[in-house]
Amino acid sequence: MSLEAELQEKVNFLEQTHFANMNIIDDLNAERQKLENYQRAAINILEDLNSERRKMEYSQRATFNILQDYNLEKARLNDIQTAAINILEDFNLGKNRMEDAQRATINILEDFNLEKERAELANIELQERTDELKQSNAELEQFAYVSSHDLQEPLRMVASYVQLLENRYRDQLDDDARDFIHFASDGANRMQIMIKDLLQYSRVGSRGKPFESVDTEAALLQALSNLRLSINEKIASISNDPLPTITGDRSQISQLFQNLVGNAIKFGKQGESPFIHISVRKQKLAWQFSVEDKGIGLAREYFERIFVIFQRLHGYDKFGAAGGTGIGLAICKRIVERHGGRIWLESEPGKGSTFYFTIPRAEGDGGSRQ
Amino acid sequence: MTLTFGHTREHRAINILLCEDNPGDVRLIREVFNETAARLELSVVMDGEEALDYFRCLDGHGKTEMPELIILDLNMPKKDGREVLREIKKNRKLKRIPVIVLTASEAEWDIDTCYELGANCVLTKPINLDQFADMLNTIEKFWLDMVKLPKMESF
Ligand SMILES: Nc1ncnc2c1ncn2[C@@H]1O[C@H](COP(=O)(O)OP(=O)(O)O)[C@@H](O)[C@H]1O
Ligand SMILES: [Mg+2]
Ligand SMILES: [Mg+2]
Repeated sequence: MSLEAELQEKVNFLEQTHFANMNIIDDLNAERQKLENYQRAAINILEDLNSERRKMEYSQRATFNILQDYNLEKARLNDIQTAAINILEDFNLGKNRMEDAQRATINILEDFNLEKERAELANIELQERTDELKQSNAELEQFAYVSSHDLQEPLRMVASYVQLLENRYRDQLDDDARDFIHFASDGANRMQIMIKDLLQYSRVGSRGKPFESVDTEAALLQALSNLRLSINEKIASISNDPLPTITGDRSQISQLFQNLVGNAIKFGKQGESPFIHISVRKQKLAWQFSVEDKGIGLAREYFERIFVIFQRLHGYDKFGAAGGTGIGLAICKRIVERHGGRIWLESEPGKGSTFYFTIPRAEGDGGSRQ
Repeated sequence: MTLTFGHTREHRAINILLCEDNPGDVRLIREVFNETAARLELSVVMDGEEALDYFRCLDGHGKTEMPELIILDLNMPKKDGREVLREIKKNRKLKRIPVIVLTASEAEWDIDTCYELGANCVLTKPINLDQFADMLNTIEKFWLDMVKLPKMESF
């Protein structure tokens, strides 16, 4: 064998193997192709499977969504229901509340009506009391009129004819007869003074003037001027604090001073000239006036009694014709009470007395002139 | 009361009408006037109605005389002094006659009413006889001697 041949042979072989190889490769390729095809088919199948799965998942999800939506809807419905229930409840509550409010209103109205009725009743009662008071005032006035008029006429008859008897038959009468006549006419005189005093007493209420601004210093001066006879007779020294302007009945305040100062002069010690001082203290709600003397004074046990009408501590003769009937302090008390104040005293026998009275301070009352 | 300054009245009695229900007062007034003067003619009526009758009789040819002065008690039965006073002052002829009101009351509403009704003066009767006599004497002196009374024409 030649090289060539050998070579040829080798080339042939090589060629053959190459072809074989090529075939093998081709086969391999075909096999690979097949495999690839299988693979692709498998992948396709898998892909299909996946898509199926996905589809299933979708539908599942959709179902799920639907379910969820349904749940949500249900929840919403529940919520709406709850809300509705709440609203209803609220409404009921509101209704209840309204009913309560209504009931409360009705109660209030009823209470109000009750109050109104009560107030009306009270009003009626007040009116009745006022009417009664007016009636009793009118009766008092009537009484005053009767006492001043009808009682005085028979009294005048007694006094006048006893006196006529005395005038005309004086010479034919003995001492006893003259004494008797004296007592009779003295009694008649006293009774007449008492009737006049009663009249004055009854007029404190029925004839009182409406309250106005009263300069109490001027009222005191007026009183002192009315008392000047006894002031001069007893040589009384009278002093006073600066006195305020108050709200009251001018002539009654003056009368109050006149009665108190009059007493202070009258009940002075025998043979001494009276010292009298009038002072005032401004209190929170009232003016407190006082009339102080250094006279005979009186015991505590009589402090109340002397304010009672016709109550005196001394016999008729003791303090003379000007002795009074014992109505002065009763009138004072009535005047002070009409002004809404109080009257009282401090006293000791032999040391003197201080009479106090208060007059409520009204708004706008001026201060004391200090 | 002897001096009358040539007044014509000393020659004839003055006619006074006294309206007074109380016989005690009438007598007292008579007693006092009798003690001092006999120159007044006192006619007496005992209540308001009688007083109005008296005035009615004047209005014709009644036997009553026109009074020159009227003394009127305020407190009388039937028609009281106020009503009599009102009638007097309403009448054209009677209203010129001075009216002295005598009252036992010092109640000021009485006094005010009297002046409102046209009383010429109002006096309260004092309890004391001497004062009462003084008052009547003063009435006499003032109204009969000092005051020029209106000329009385008959009806
Ligand atoms: N300042 C006083 N000092 C002593 N006693 C007095 C004083 N004020 C009043 N009294 C007593 O009170 C009594 C009653 O007084 P009052 O009512 O004024 O009546 P009257 O002055 O008419 O006696 C008097 O009688 C007197 O006993
Ligand atoms: Mg007194
Ligand atoms: Mg009479």
